[in-house]
Amino acid sequence: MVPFDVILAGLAGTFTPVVLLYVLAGVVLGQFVGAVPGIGPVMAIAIAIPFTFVMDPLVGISFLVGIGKGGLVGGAVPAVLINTPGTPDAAATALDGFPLARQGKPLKAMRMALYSSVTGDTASDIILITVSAPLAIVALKLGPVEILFLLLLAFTVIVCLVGGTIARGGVALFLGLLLATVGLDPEYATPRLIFGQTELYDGIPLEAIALGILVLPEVLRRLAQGSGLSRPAVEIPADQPAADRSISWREYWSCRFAMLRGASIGTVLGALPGIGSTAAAFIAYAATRESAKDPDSFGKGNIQGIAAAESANSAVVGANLIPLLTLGIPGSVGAALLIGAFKIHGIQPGPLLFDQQAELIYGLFGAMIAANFMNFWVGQAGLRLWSAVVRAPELVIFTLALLLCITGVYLGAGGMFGLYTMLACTLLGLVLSALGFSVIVFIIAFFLGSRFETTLSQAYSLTGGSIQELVNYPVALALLVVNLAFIALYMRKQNRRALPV
Amino acid sequence: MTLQRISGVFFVIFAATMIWGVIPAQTETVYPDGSIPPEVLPSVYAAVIGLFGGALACQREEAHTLDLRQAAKTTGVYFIALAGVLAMKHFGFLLAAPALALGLLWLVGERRPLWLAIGGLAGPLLIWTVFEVLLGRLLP
Repeated sequence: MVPFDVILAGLAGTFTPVVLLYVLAGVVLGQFVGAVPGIGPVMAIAIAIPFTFVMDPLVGISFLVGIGKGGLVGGAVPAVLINTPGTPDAAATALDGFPLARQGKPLKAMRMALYSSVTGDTASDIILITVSAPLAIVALKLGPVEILFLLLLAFTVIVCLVGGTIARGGVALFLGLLLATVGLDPEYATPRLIFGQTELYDGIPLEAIALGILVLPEVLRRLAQGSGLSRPAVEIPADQPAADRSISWREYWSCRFAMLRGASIGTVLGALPGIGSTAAAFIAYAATRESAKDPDSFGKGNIQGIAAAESANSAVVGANLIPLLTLGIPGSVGAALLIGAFKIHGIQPGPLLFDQQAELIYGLFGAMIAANFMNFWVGQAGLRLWSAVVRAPELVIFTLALLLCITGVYLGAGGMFGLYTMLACTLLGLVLSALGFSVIVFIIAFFLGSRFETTLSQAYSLTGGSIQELVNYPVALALLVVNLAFIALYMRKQNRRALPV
Repeated sequence: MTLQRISGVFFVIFAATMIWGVIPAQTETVYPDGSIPPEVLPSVYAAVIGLFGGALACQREEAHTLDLRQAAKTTGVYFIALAGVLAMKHFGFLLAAPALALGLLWLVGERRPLWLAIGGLAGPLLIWTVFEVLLGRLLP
């Protein structure tokens, strides 16, 4: 158990001007990029990671968390105003948000999105804070053999749920793992697949691969299809009756079950690897519509629809950190990027983190709660401003994003070599996505690759490479059974879909 | 031949090249002491890629199509970005970044002077000022 004084010291670390300032900067930046269709918080986090190099670990990671949380709030703005979600997570928000805006109540829709987002996010953060330490204690009981089978289960879930088909997801997964073997072999410390480049001794730089695979292909694609014109946005009338632009306590309270349902669904799905916030938002939306007295009003501007979708997609963010902090397994791309940020700061996510870096973890929890409050206040003050951001020409924003990628990788990943690596990864990312392979599976596999190899080596040493030895590891056997059952169920479902109706 | 089958065949060839060419040539031989030798895991990964590639090549269903016009345009933008990075190496960020940004904006259709000035000149200058002048971090 983490001593109480360490928890207090960690929380106190958050409430320093520097940390709070960077959390605020992250939230503002996140809301801004979230409001621009096409640039989501994931892209912003990937661009920001190299710049956190110069910061203390707590400051840097809090800044990134602020961007992630702010991005989810910002993503609802274009969803409501122009029916184009700033991030895929906000797609379900647009179902009722846009009709409400068309009825002349855009501020009301955005406020409901903001309030429910902050509510869902805070609920999931409280669950994260309360369950992660006990879970880490359980995780500490797991040895390399169990962790190996847990990683295999995570790979299976991610391939099946995100990879498209098993074959496509499998190619993406093993390509990511293969690329993670570049550098010094962990067992013998001999160079492997470095092609004479001594810069590759430490492997492919995380920043170069994150920006090259995730961000630059999207930036280049958007630039290639851009028209240069500003988007038309719904006008926000300057003088409206309060009932049309704000949410009363009564309206907020009437959405309590929708928000609770959304937060619960978001938290459960967020804790599982591979299921993103978009799925959580749609499931919560559908569940709320099903249980409503007037389901026909959904899709026509019902604030309960906005509340369910936004509380669910925001709840995923906190819950994504549960497997990350307790097991070192990311639940989403954003969490995978945070693993990269942790590693850059010399921290290995996993159960030992609560033992070795408890102060940092509780500092991070404090920053998450602070980010929620800031999200609320910045959102309140900035809704009209973000509405103007929606109209910014995306060509200009993507051009500047390209320059920021170049700057970030040059500073954070070894100068020109880092830039060349990033451009090579960009080419790989463009080819993979053009051919329909999931870059999300690829990037998560790359981030987990070195851990998988180390765990495999340790498990191999423990068992002597004998399959029969597994009988001594019942948890590993159970995980193997779950894994096989998951594959069987998935394939059965695929076959049913393939059958003619 | 469908795009799916072409990519499947590509990954089979890629896997074979990795297993019999690249991995043996790019991995130092060690005398195993009971641990997994360095070349084993990359070879296994490559073999599985080959297997999945084979499965893709054999599947009948075409799940994905490629917009060739869009792909060509994206490739064009990629080479402009590459040229910009190479120009930064030779001429420095301060000269090359505005040229890259202005060139890109112009080529992709931005013609409004205000946005050209903001995206092509003010933006790169702001980035340079923040990192070179304020933070003292050297850019190319």
